[in-house]
Amino acid sequence: MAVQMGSEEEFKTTIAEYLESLPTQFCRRVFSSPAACLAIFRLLSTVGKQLIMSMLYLDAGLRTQDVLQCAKTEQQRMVKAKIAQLRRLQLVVEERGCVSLNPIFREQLRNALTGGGDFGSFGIPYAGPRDKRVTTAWLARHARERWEAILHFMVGRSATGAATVGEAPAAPLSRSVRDILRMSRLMEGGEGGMTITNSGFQFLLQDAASQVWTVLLQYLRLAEAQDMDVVEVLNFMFQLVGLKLGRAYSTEALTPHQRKMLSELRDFGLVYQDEHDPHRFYPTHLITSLTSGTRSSGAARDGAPAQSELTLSSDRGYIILETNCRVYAYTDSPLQIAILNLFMDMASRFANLITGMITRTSVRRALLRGITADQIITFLCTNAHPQMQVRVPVLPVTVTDQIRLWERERDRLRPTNAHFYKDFAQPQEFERMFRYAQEIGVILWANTEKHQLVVTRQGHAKIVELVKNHRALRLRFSCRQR
Amino acid sequence: MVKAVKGTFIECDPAAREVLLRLNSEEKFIIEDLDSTHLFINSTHLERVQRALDELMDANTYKASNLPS
Repeated sequence: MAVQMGSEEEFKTTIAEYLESLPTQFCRRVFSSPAACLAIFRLLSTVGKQLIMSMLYLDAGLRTQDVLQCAKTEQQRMVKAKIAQLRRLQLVVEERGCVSLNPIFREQLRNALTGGGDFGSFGIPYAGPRDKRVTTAWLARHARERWEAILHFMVGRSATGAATVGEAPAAPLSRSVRDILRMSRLMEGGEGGMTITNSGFQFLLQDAASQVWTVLLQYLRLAEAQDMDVVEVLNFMFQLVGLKLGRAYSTEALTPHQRKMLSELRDFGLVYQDEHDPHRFYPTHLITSLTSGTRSSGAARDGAPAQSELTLSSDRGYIILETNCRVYAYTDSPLQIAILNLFMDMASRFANLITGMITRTSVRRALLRGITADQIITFLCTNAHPQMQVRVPVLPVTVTDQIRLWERERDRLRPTNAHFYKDFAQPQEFERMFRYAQEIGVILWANTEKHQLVVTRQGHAKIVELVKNHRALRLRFSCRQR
Repeated sequence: MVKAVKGTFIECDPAAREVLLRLNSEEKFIIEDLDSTHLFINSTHLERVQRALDELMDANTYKASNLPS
């Protein structure tokens, strides 16, 4: 697909940021699991993977300069930034001009690739008899139902969503799901009266993988708040990500925390576990496809029928957008209709088709809810009908430009919190302050003739200090707060 | 003696500034009219002003009638 998914990248970096924020001690424990190492490795960009691969079987460090030699001159800066990023993730160590892999990470990634080390970290397959009912297709349907129920619950609570589309009331959700939705600020309010927030609307427009990442990250924060061992949660999460779809895994070796986590992820449809048979669980495609990166490429979707069976129904393209802003969506899912209703005006609804139009009013309505133009465009792009996917660009430029223009016309004011200085007693006083503010780069606006100055909030604090230091000059300074 | 005033610095296009000046004649919120594209206003009024500007701009936009049936 021509347009890169912005949101997915963002969420991958969020998990990266989370890992970066972990203290060294924690990282060591995370890396002690081969499954975690492999999952992290798979999350990296191609260049990062390449760098790690080139160092994986070296016991001594590589000179940073030699590493940079691998890249073309114009790309060296990018490679350098990549190394710095890997260092922040504590995957590589850099000392005395040499880079080498973190020894623990190196060993465990080797183990992951060659099948050595702690075998249990990739999950222990369930040895008992197979349950014939549970096939990959069945799991996919189950996961989809669960996940869509959550999204439906969110849309169902938005006033316009339910009223105009006239759908069935959303299914009740378990307590932990609602807790996570509330913790992540996707929804707010107490029992019964939960309402969707602006970030909730944004969440709805993302693709499934980003949504799952959001939920998992939130789960990590929740675990932190409940004083659970974060490393245990992280390792289990990475373990789940590396499991094989359609295979049953044993819960025997899991710790109580992990069991609790399993039961909560079950409510999200990320894993399946039969209530009557708690000894085994099945991961669903929602979690196993997180690191595979096969998602959302239009060509792969057409080429592999087995794949299309597994993807969420909302992952299959169904929207046709014309240059005159008209939208035809081949869907009968109340969830998808409710999501579309966020930013378009519905005209008619048939058994498997709805038509509508993107208008200024409808886009403004979405913008007022905090949805950005880019999110609308990305959503339309990922869900575009296969016949539209082959076009370059996927969406008509007239429409995407118009949506962006509508967004632009809304923010005509660019406000900054600031302090305004006027009525300087002497020109020299103004000069001194002006030069100082210029030095520390806090000037927003200045008029040297009228001797007026606007500086940022942070700049004001520094200038107050300067003035205090100039007490000796008996500079009197009054700060009138409005 | 120098005076420091806390507030919000606004960068805008001249058209939006004219609207703000008109709003200001109804209820004062502009602390200083800096130049044709910059204003310094009272922070507490920012949200109200933004909303008022948005409504006014919306009222001054040509709207095509809904989908032809």
